[in-house]
Amino acid sequence: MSISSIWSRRQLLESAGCGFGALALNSLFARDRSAGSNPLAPVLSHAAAKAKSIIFIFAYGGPSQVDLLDPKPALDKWHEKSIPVFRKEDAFNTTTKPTAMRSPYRFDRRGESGLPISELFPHIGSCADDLCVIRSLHCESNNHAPALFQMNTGFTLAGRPSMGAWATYGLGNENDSLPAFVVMWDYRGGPIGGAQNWTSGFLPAAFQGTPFRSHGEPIIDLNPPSTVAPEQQRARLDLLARLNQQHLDANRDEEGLAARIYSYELAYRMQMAAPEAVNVDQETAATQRMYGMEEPISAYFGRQCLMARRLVERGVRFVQLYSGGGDQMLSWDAHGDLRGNLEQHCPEIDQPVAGLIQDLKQRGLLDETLIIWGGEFGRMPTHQGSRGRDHNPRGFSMFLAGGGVKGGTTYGATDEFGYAAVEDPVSIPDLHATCLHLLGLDHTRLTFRHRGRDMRLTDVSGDVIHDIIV
Amino acid sequence: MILVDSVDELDSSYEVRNVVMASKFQPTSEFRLCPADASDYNIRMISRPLSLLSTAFLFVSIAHGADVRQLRQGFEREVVPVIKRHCAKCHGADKDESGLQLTSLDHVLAGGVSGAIVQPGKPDESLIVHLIRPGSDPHMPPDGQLSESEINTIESWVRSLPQNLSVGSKQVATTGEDHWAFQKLRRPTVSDVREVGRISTPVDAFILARLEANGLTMAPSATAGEFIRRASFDLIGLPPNREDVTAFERDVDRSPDRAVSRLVDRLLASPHYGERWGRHWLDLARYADSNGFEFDFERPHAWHYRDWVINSLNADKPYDEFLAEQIAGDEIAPESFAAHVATGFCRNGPTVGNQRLEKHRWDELDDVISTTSEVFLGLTLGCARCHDHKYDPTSQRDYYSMLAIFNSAGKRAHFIGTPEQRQTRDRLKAEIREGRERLKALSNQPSAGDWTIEDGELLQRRPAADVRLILGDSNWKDYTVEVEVQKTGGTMEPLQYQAGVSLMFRATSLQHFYWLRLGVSDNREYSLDIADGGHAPIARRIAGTLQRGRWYRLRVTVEGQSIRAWVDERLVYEMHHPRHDRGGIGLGNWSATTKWRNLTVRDTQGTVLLDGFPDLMKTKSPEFAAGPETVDGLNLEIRHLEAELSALPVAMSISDESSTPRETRLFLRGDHRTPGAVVQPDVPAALAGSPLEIPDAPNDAKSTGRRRALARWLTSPDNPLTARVMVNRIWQYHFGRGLVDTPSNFGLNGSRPTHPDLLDWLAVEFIESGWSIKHMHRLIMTSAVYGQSRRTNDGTRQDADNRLLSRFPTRRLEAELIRDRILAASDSLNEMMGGPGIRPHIHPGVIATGTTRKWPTVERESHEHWRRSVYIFVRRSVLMPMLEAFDSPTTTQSCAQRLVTTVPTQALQLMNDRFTNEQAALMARRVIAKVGHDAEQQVREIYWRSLSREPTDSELSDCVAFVQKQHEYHGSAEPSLADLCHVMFNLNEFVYVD
Repeated sequence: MSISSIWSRRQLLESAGCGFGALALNSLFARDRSAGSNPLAPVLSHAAAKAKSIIFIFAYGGPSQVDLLDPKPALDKWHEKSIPVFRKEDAFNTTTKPTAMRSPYRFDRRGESGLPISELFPHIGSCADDLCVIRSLHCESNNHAPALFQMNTGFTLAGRPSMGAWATYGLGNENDSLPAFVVMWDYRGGPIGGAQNWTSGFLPAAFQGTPFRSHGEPIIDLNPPSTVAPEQQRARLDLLARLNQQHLDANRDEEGLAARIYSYELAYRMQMAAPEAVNVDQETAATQRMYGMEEPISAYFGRQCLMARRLVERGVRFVQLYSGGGDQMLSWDAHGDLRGNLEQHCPEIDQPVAGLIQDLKQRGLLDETLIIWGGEFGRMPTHQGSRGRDHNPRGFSMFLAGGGVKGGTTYGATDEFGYAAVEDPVSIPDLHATCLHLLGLDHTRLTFRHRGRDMRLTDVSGDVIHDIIV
Repeated sequence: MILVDSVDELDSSYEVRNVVMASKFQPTSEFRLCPADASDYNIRMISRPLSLLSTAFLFVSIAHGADVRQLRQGFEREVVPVIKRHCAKCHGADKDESGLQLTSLDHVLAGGVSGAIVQPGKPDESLIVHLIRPGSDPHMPPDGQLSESEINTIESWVRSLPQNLSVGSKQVATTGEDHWAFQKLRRPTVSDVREVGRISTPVDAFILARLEANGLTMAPSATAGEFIRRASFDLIGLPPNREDVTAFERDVDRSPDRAVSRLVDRLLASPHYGERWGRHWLDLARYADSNGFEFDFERPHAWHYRDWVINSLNADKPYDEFLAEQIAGDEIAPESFAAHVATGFCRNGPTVGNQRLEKHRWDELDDVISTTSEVFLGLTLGCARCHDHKYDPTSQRDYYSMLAIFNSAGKRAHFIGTPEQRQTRDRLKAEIREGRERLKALSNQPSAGDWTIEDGELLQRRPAADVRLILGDSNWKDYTVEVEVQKTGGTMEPLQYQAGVSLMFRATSLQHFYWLRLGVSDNREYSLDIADGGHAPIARRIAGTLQRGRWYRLRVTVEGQSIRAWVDERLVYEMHHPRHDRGGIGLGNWSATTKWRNLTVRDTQGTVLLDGFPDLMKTKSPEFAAGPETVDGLNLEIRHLEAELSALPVAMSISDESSTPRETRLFLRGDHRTPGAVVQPDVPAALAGSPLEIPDAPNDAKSTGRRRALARWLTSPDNPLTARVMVNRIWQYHFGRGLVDTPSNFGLNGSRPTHPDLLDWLAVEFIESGWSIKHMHRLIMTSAVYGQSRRTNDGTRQDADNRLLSRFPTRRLEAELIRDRILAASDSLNEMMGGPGIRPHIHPGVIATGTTRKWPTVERESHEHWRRSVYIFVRRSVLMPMLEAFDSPTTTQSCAQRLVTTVPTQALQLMNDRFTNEQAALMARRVIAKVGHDAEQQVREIYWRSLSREPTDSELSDCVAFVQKQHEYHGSAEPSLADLCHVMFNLNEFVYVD
């Protein structure tokens, strides 16, 4: 059963009465799903949603929890001594040592909640009372790509739909002139595995993440090549519309044709809407400053965070920002030089992320926007070489803000070294289940029939962490 | 498949960065989940399709001497309360995880799929006791713990059971005995119909019978023009040209039937047939030219499989052979290169490239089993990896029996060539190695460049690695240097991390200075570095690109230890550094050509130290050591060598390690760390009507022969699924939807056929034709149902979704066909067949998504890129954006049916991408060359090229008026016609075929 046939039937109904219905593509999917007329599972808004959108800030490479969000004084005591919990097979690199490496950074108690935050995040620390730090995450791979895939899709193998695709599949879009799921990368390049991280997998391609560029034309091929003048393009489109309409008139019963004409209308509107949505020049100097856009180090990510706010403001459902990218050494992957790495990446994002939280809050949007910050895994509390830390899939931290989570709190805990999650461990499916829940989606009922099974983002597991929800 | 390959040579896909071998679980001798000797018994039980629930209830009553009533009472009293508390959620009346229900004594004794859970009288040997003890792994309940007294209760209950009690025989509840798809094939009698006149082939009778039963009939015949367009796209994926259409129309006027069969024969004989239908098969075979995952290493020899598929289909290789070679080509014809290539079917799945864990091996095998069972059998056996199938009569045991067939195979890069080719291979490898060393040497030393001054601008014209020029006075201390620089040319290659321009200051020699660098890290960053023997950054890098052809204004001020740097008046660096306290300045670039102007150096008082460029004789630059080679030149040379190497006959194949099979065990919950009972190779129990026969391997055998046995079983005429599944696929690719619309799922949960008799009739016909796919095309395409018009008045409402085929369904062209149609229309199509994949232009912004970014920068596409889309190199992390937008498969899993989505990105692609605009311009030029400047003739020619038909009168006048209006706008003919061609590419009619 083709997707076009699903919604063109809908479209025929619409166009019978009032020409092309002003319905968004994705809400058409949604409506038809609820009408039960196709193999896509029914749309599932199961509970009162806390959040309408998600901004997932992905610190790609694996940020170090014991230096940022999960202070471990025991590491000072055990510095240079072998810690008993270390297991060789957890490490990715053979040069990783069992000896503890203390954090070179101070943690301060921040906000009224007194949440301990590393000195590397002075601005994020100022938002402490809005943060919910989950300290007991664990994942299934100590290798970047499988761990990224798991964080994004629930599976360590490539090819499953990403959380953004699931969310937009479940909820549709609120703005038909913009994509529902937008991805922006670090200036250094995309994460490992590329588009496999925001794929729609077996879901229809409509739910795939659309990469936005932060400078120039936001979407590739959004505008005609420079050799084609606007009036020339307009003339082409006019003839196209005329010929397509004649063809449609002669083929009224054909599925898909009206839908395709409509998609050109949408594309045309997107040409206006997308550049407007990301035009941060419209923002005041004060707002730009708030996002750290005046500092060379944070200017780029600040711009992206501000773009993210403008996108969710306009109804985009899921925005994913990558910090770190291109070559692995340019990500948060601090194998060789922990300090060099963190002191490069933290200042790049600290003020922008804090600015985003504060700005959303002052606009009354934080309650309906869930911010997720974290990487695909954490880092070992032990040495790799003399100055680095290796990957750690067994215990790591992320923080959530807004979207109905309790601020100024921590959830779960690692052992005294920050090595493995021991208290209230949170699996990736647990995290996913919680995010979907906050969007008003029941992860056990958001399914798609594929290869003879009703597939889920969370497959056969996942428990919503109710304790962190307001 | 084995973990470490015994291969002629390692695949390049196995460049290992960090080898980690980890097996987290070592099965210990005291913890065997299922006694090995019980397994044979279980397999025999399962291979007989009988309902075991009836036998399961006999266990207790046949227990010798046991007081059954007493046993039941003891169970109810002691055990049931514990079960209710802890186990009922997963093993209660509503659920039987792992095939295990704990609702009655009989069920508990029957056990689950992994066999008995209780050894009567022996708690220490009982699985259930192990699982509930603290700290066990696996552990039950998964996130709970029974109390000590509860554990004691269970233990003493097990101890109390009489040892002769029979246990551990659990059969899956559904046998599938009655399921339609598992029934033996027989040729149904052809249905009687009223409208005998509409019948061209027996196929029509089946279709008409159902239509008539619903008060419907077929639509009228399609016009000759509709038919030839439909048939051409269907069989060769390319539009007919004007001559084809007019000749066919003439033929139809003479004899419609003969015209159709002659057309079908002609199309089937075209080599383009294999390209079109090969693409369908490549979807199923999840074909790609790279590994996927992080590094997405290339598979330089994978294309042999693609070509094997195309050639096999063109040759109408019987489907039974086609199938058998893909599973067991190495066992069937060990000397044949093509047969080894065919086993690439088992190698096409994605693989992790930088890490080898045992888990990955099982994941790769899972991909093979899932794909094999879906593609050939239409069974979703992959679902049974971790548990019995929820819907189908396939148990976990079936999965592992299939695993036992493939488990002995290892991955190989199998070279089968002449001695000369072997020499060529060795030479190429040596040359590539040497080229890489030269590249390294080139990058490791500064080079002189080629500097001249023209009209006050300093030009550097050689894009060598690390060009430096030092000038000024090495005793300068505090100063401000200002200069403007433009990159004029140089590398567009990815992976040129150093490329960019640099301004040096406080330079005392060619090796000692500070360095402000723009556009480094692959043109993504600015950095501030120190060169002092070595070379290292001294500050955080920041985002910044270097655009070609744009002036950048650089300024650096050094005062004492303070360093400040501006780019285009923006302060980018402000810091202190103690190392170099004096020195002149320098200019440089890496793999680029540059020009410089307006150089000034002033001291802190504003005194001019330097104004403009000095005499080049007074500067310092490196010796001409590296020769005239450039980084890009060398890279290109290496790429050519690699292309030559990948063309050599190396099969990406599988073959067994030896004739002795590896032991295969069932994995509890699919986890290789919890192995269960040994399983023997077998086929799914539900299909055991024709059993798997594995002949003993002869003494000198190199292979277990298990896969050949599977191939023989699959292609036996008794196999109820193989032929049904394949004819359904053929039907689907002709009509857009199969008779069964879940083409890779013929299980209980799949759809039922709309025309079961037709499906069976076709399947029998297929087998009896000698498994000829082309025979099936002829049969279907000469049928009236295929020749119907898509227009009908009465059927549309009653048969709204056209399940009864009361008209021909309109279909959108697949992604590849849209691109190919554009190339055909513009007359750019390069019809060369086969060989390593091609890499057309991809927007650099898309390439940057992947980490490896190994896609060459194509500044301008040319003939070599304009080949059919089936030959485009399939890089898993960077799929061709245009194909991806139009729903080409993601290649991670077998794709049995493409989705058809309609989204704005498709419109953006066709409207705005360089490709469509370039091809429109080319087409315009060629149209003028062919028909001259008469507007009507031009429009007619454009309609024929793009839509394979004459324009209607109103289209003709519309388009002529458009071209004239555009002519006024552009002032010339070519761009006006290009505008019309561009519109044609975007028409609904261009991408939908009736």
